[in-house]
Amino acid sequence: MQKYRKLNEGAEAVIYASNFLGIDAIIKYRAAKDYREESLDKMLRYQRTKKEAKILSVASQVVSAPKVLFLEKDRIFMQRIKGTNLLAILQANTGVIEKNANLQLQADKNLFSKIGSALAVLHGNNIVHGDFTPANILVDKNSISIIDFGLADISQMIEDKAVDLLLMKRAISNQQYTAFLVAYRKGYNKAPEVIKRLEKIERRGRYQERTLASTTEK
Amino acid sequence: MIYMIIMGIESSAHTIGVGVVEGRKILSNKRKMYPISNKGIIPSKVAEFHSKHIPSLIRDALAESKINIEDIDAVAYTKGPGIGACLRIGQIAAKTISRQFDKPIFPVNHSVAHIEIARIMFNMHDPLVLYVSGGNSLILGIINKPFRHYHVYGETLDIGIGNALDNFARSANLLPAWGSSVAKVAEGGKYIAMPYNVKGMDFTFTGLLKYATDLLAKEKLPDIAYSFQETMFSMLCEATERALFLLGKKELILCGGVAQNKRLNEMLQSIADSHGVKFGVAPDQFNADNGAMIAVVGLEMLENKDHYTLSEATIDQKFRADKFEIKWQL
Repeated sequence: MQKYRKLNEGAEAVIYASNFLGIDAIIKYRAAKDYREESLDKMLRYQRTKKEAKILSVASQVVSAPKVLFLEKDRIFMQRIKGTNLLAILQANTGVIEKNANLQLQADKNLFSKIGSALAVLHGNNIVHGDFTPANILVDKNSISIIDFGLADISQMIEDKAVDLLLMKRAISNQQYTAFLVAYRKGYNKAPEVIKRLEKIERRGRYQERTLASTTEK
Repeated sequence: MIYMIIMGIESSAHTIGVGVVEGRKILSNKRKMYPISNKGIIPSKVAEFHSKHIPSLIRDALAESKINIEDIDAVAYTKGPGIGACLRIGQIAAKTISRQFDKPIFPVNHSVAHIEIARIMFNMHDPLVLYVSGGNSLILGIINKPFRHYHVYGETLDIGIGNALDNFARSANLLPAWGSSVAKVAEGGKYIAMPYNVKGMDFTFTGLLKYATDLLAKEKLPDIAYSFQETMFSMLCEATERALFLLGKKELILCGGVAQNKRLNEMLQSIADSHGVKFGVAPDQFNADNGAMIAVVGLEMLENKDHYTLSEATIDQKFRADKFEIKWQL
């Protein structure tokens, strides 16, 4: 993998820049972890890679998400999507918001309803993202894309879907969340059930106490 | 330079301990453990055991430290979390000393004490912590808002890892029924695939426990024990590694009773090495429940000029680590 330029390194995988038959691509590579039993390590890496590719190939047909170009046991070659990370945008915006508050509000509303609609479509197809935070949303002018399906799952469970909402809710403001939720409700017929479950999750002891501080804060 | 002398009393579970520290130096660390049968423990019996042994432990700790009780500057005790009846014994002993000899009293969070003794020992300032014991399995880090505390980033969503190990040991008729017996029988085992359940930085153990105990009738014990342990530790390691990345921490502490396991040490050391992270595990006597760690936190509180009246010296069975304010500088 040395010949590729490293773009990002996470706990589970490394992202390299690449080119696949003339298309701008990235490689998501799950490297071996020395600390764990070899057969367990292989099983986890291969299963997760395969599952992620499978989910991506469905997701990329229904929302804007990277298309799978090529798959190997421990790596996925996928289309590289242009855009800026929403987390970076949110962090850069803090403090300048008041300058033209109305404009900012409207822009936020458009952006977050797009995110809400996209999640509604994913959930309608029984895809749960598993790590639905601003860090995994790319924004390019007026369009948004969803990336990193590493923790995603095919699931009909209301609980799993509610956790997607919870993660986003914890990371954005109340106004942003309202815009997000209106669109989500409009796009997904089981939304009321999911929202009800979310309230239940938030009432559970362990979660209640842990939402005091958001996980993105250091 | 004159250092403060603190006595710490720990009685949250099966161990009753008394430790004395002078500044950062540990003068004594005495303890007695309730003999565990294969059937778990009865709280009232353990409390009885603790109340029987605490006077002699205090005497022994003072004798080994070569001081009299009048020489201590304060007394600290475990406020929680733990078994109510057991916590009560330590609390009564501490309050008696406080009133009789007119010494300041400090209620201490048990989990934070395990973390702090390791943090001070390795001179760390902003560590990520994996705290693993019978009832607890937590991933923590310091946050300053709304008050400074060890924030829980990830944790077990059902039972503690030590609990799972004890439970498995009982089902497999291992004696004594706890983790080190599982570790011993696991040596040389072969790996069998088992359920693996990590969600972000949280994890669950009950599904795996059920799977492993059901397998006892079908497979060889060493293979099951090895795979059970290996799978659980891998889950903890994955969640810990994810937290290291997400929070960008450069220091890692492993603490709590299960921190005595050599294999878990080895795995986390490997993760720390591969990311250039400083790794610290306190010696075994401080990962088992002990009085010295309570004294160490008591010292921090005394130096910070905290003050508690006798009526504020309470116990709390469900005293979570993130409810305990860290008023001192790290």
